[in-house]
Amino acid sequence: MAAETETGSARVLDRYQRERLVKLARSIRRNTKALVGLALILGLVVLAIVSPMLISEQAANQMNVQDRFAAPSLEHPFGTDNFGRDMFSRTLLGVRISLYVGITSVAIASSVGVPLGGLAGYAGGAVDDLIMRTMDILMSFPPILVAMTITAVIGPTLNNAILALGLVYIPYFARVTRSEAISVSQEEFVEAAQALGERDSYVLFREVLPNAAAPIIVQASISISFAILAAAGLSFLGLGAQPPTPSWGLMLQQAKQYLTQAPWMAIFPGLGIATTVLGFNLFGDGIRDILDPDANTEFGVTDE
Amino acid sequence: MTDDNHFDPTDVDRRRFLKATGLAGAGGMTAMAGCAGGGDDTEEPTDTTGGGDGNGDATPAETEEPGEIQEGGTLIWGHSEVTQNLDIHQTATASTGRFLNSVYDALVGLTSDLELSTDPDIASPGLATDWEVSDDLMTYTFSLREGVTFHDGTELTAEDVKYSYDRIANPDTGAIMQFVFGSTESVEVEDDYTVVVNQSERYQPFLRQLAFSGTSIVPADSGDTIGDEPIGTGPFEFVMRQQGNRAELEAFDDYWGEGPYLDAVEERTVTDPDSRLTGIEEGDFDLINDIPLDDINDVVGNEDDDLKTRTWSPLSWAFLNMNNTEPPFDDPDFRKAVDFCIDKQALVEGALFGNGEPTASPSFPNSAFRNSDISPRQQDFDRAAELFEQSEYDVDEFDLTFKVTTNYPWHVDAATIMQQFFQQAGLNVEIQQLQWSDWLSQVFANQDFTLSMVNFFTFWEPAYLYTSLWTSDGSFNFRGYASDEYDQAVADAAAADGREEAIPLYQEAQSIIHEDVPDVMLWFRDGTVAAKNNVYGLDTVLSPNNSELNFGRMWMDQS
Amino acid sequence: MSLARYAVRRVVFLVGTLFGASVITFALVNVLPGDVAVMILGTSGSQEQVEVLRQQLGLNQPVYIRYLDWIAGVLQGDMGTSLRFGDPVATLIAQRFPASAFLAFSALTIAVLVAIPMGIVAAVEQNTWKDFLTSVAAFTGISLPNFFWGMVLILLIASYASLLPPSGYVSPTEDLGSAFAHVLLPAGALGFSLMAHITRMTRSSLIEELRSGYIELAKMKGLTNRRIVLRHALRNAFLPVLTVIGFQLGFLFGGIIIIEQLFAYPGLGRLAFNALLNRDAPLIQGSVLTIAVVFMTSNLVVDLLYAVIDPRVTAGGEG
Repeated sequence: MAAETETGSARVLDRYQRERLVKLARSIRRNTKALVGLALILGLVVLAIVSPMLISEQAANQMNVQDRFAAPSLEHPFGTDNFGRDMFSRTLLGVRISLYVGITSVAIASSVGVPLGGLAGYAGGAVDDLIMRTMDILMSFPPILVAMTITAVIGPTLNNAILALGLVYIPYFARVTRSEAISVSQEEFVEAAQALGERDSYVLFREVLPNAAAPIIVQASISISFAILAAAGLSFLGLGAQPPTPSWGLMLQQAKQYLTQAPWMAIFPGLGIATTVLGFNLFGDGIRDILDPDANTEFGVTDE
Repeated sequence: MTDDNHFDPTDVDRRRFLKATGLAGAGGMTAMAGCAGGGDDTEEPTDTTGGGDGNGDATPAETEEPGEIQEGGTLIWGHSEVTQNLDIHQTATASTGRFLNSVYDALVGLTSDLELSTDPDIASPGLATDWEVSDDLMTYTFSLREGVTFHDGTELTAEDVKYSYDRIANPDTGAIMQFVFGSTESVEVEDDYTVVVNQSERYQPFLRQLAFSGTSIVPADSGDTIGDEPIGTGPFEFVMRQQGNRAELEAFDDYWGEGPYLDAVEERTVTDPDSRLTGIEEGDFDLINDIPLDDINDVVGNEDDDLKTRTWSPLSWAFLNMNNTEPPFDDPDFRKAVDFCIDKQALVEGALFGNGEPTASPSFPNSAFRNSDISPRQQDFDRAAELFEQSEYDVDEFDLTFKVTTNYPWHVDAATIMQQFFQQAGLNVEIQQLQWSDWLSQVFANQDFTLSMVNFFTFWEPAYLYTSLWTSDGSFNFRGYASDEYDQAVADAAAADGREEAIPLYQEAQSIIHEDVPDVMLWFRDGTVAAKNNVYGLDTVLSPNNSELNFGRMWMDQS
Repeated sequence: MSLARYAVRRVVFLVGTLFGASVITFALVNVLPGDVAVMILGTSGSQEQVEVLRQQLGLNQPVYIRYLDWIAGVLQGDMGTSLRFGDPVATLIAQRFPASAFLAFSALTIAVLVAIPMGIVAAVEQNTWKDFLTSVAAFTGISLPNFFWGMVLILLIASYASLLPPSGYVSPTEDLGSAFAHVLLPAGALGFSLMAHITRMTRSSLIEELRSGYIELAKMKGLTNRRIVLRHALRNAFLPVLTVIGFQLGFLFGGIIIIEQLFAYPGLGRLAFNALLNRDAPLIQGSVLTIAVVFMTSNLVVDLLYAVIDPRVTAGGEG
């Protein structure tokens, strides 16, 4: 995730900015949390790429009712579900869906929230007020409630759930970016660019935002973990992925009916979610520690 | 009807069911709307407790220890659904009816054999002691039971009946059973205990429909308050309801009939099936309806359990809906090919855990109207391929959406299984889970669907069943099936001189839809209740209208 | 800025935001597809009946009129009548609210009661196996959805051990023992992630406090370790913990919706969710707005508490 953001924005970075990020990357190697998080994420990405090559979706959907609720065995390492489908294949295919949900919804949220927050912080005044008050209103609802309502409005599909979560997380990106943009705007190089008569949009996108990248990466990493949890919740309520999609949230929904007969139907998708969320949480946390070694931080909560 | 929101489950046990269908054959008993035929027209009130009525006593069943009825105690009922609008005339939900049935009485009584009766000692006794119907079916004169008190202490008179019927007939009330009075010109009070209904046109099902609980009698001028505080003449009076959580009924001391034996009934809303079962096993509840499908086999007939159960079939009948007005399902060959793709037994196993059986006809298994010459098509992918080939469309030219409601989780499971069958046949189908409200508005009301599935309850009566579901202008023909041949067969059956003449016509209608495959018939599903071993009168709790529970004759051994 | 002025400013902001929230709620609900009239009548409604019902329910009026009607009513305490249940929305909410409040309060209490001792142990015995175990528990706590924990609790405690009922609600005013028995599992599930966050936060802020100068001073003054931790450090570490709670309120409230669903718990979240499923517009509006009001008020209370404890906040002037 971090790597993607770095290379993706490399074109707009000058040497100074690039050096800062390289420094960040170096210190990741010395931070256990960030390193473990990164390792987990990379491992999951590999699984997401490899498992669809080894297991066809058709095989994962293959039913065998006679073999339903089979406990974990050599043949079915994660057991089988109420249709006799192999939970191992389904759980592995779930990796890709989970990453897709987390990354896409955060991409949506940040692509709207970051420019908005940057604008608010950079422009200040009435623009700032207008944007941030709107964000306040959006944040006056618990995120899952809004996501639930939006998904119910536009129809329950996985992509709609992603869209809803993307919308819900916009204010969080706007907030982080704004406060970062305010401090960056006061730095010399921004003032210099303004003095040189650069257009505001140039200053905002070329000078301010790239220098606010690191906290945004942190926010993104942590938001991905929240989004994955929230999407699982939506699927659990029937508002996300549709059967027979091997989505972890949906698997948990199905497992709920058969908890006593087949607890493994819940355990393995649960482990999947845990690993993914943990990876992004650790990574985000680690980076924050690196950026601000003195700050008192835990899991995305800053002691301001 | 289809759902939790309307008439709902056919709570008939097997023993009672046999009698019910036998009689349905004999008398063409119609408890549903719009039925145009299939029965004799003038029902004489019966007042016998003989033979047919096995429901009057509290300890009838062979499975229960006969014993002295004990009075007292509170029965805690783990109820499967949330009760809704408490106005008995407005409420469209089976869940509310299931709860209010012990509070209200209708004018016309109904035995467990679905026979109209004035006998007070039947499953669903009525408030009329006699009625006279003119030969032209234009005037109905009812004599009321005397000494009946409402829960508010007032005495039942003809004014209350007139008020109730006028209220239901008034379109502004939004009464579900308004259609019953569609041909009613006036309701007149002749004296305190005599009511006359004048009809503007002949409407043969009228008398039977006055046995619907939706036409129950409420006190005069209570329309504004009965939604909050139901007041009826039944064995239990309403105490309180905390919506979505629990409600209480209390024995009504001045009840006009026999019973009630219990002091109180406490309803606890427990929509999660597993919680209901765990709850009764741990002693939190005395009775639950709907045992979770995957647990039925463990619970029913398990001698070690401290529970007794009743299982009956069918509770409901389910079918695959194909939109007959749009490609590819406007082609009968394509529809029949889909039928050949589906292994119905596998569906019953996979989605219902075996608690049901495949059926080719929606008529109840022992109904005289059922066409026993047709049977479910066996899964045959070769035949399916031939038929797809023969149809005007290619099997792989569509990406179909299968809209299924989460209101019935086993429907989602069934759709998931069928999706695999379709994929094997090369047909691309994607599932979309819909909330019940969305299903109703998209599939049922706006016909915005290609593939779907739903189940119907209480369709024991052929005229109503075959008219509403498959005639071109049938009120439940949301799939848009249109066949002149079928319409004619059903019309002829409705106009037939008698039952014997109607039987072959309804059977022909079944053959036509079996060949045309407007829908794929899937299954009959079993119904269940479970109670603790100290609960008696379990055979009396299921109302003859196949939907509701009446606790008036239940009792508990408290020793 | 004085505390009072800060408080007033915050309340004014709250009112403004709530007004915006009411517009959003109403707008969202009124673009919901699905016709409540069809829903109410189920499969029994004819086209005319649906039309009559729509008329009765006022569904045929323009949206802005309906909004004004609604908001005028809300200001007078009348949130309209539930289309589905026929009861006043305010009554339904009033019935459900205590259940949810009880659940949220229990979750918070459980979380704090478990987490703070764990955090203290981890901090005082930093880098021991106890600390390590606490970290593992905390990370596991935040990495799984609360409904997963709910399922685990149902399975282990309700099904296998049969210790507590798996669902339902009993009012604490009715039977306190039974009320706690019913609320423990959902509150536990709901409190898991909160617990994890508070544990970690307590640990790290306590470690920091323990390192700081005045603790050394206290030690020199001869105070016992136990007293130092409890009296000084813990009080100073309270602020970050309060932050976590404030930050986690959104998740707590969001979690309630799913947890109430899982445990068939008759609270506000379940009411809102079912209203959504039923397209019961007045009830969705009422319950969603109520949740927003409670959510924002709780946020405000946390912020004000924060300001009372730490005067720097009001000086900063951040709204």
